[in-house]
Amino acid sequence: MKAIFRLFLIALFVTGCAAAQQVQWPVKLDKLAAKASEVVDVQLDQHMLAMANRFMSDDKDDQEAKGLIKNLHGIYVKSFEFDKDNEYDPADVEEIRAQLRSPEWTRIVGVVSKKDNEKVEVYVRQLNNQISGMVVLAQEPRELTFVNLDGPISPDQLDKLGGNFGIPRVEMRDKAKPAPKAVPK
Amino acid sequence: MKRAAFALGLLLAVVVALPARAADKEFDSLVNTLRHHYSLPRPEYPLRGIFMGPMMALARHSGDARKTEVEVATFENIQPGRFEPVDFENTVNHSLPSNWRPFVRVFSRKDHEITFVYMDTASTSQRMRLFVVTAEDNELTLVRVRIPDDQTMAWVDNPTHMAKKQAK
Repeated sequence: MKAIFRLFLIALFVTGCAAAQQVQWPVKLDKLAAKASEVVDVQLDQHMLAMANRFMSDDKDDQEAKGLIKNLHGIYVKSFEFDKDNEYDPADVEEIRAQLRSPEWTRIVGVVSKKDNEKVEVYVRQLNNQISGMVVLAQEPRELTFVNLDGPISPDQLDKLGGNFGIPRVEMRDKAKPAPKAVPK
Repeated sequence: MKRAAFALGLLLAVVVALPARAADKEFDSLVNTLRHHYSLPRPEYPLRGIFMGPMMALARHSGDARKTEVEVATFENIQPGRFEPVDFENTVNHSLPSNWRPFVRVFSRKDHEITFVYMDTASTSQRMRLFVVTAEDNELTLVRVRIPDDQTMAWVDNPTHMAKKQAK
């Protein structure tokens, strides 16, 4: 797994607004598990995050993590690693991307590395001028990752969450540049 | 006098161990289910020796929030390829009470390893409880742990690594 674009996908959702569109993990992508050399699936819903929050200590690191997750409704990560290149069809990922073209979603980061043949995108959902969810989609020839953070979170916080809760570390500040404009709605 | 001291010690060990055994039912139930479902050899309980058992029970009673309480069972010399991922996951899921909910699932063909991590979502205790089940090529390890509060993040972040450390 490359250090630069270590992964993520976040799938996300709901946030108190029943009408808000949820990003669903396409069932057909589960078939990738049969081809993958490694599959990681992390699912922490609001109840589980609250449990984790409750047991954290008062030390500095735990307090920082507490602050990050206390408002989240869920952390969901799916990551597939393959032995060979191109085991998944990039078109499959379009089904996820299509869901992110709804009005409340905006792509804030889009990085394409031709050298490493990697692509990382970060989308945020805004409701009432507040970020209420974030999705990271990372594609490499041998790796595909979705991270879905449901709930209020900022890009800075995503940076801090990287490496925790199964979320890959993303060096957004150094490597990612904002996309020129949001994905067409 | 020696006899009285011995009797008192024995009584204390029994009193301390009894509730611990009750708490172990849930753990034993999963161990037994997996053992019978996959016709596995007798498991090893590295922390249930004559000395370790009462020590663990005493740790449980002491309520010291800095101590990790661990229950470990290992099955060794298992025929490789014994655990088909879907069947294995279903078997484990159905063997645990519903308060144990999975939050990490890892299927690694390259490392020949399957790992499930469950969180006790109904815990009323002061500490988080996790169940980590790891099936490797010829070994199956079950770890149930009550985590000290200062290690919660370490366990939630990397439960597999932490469980392996405890099982060693």
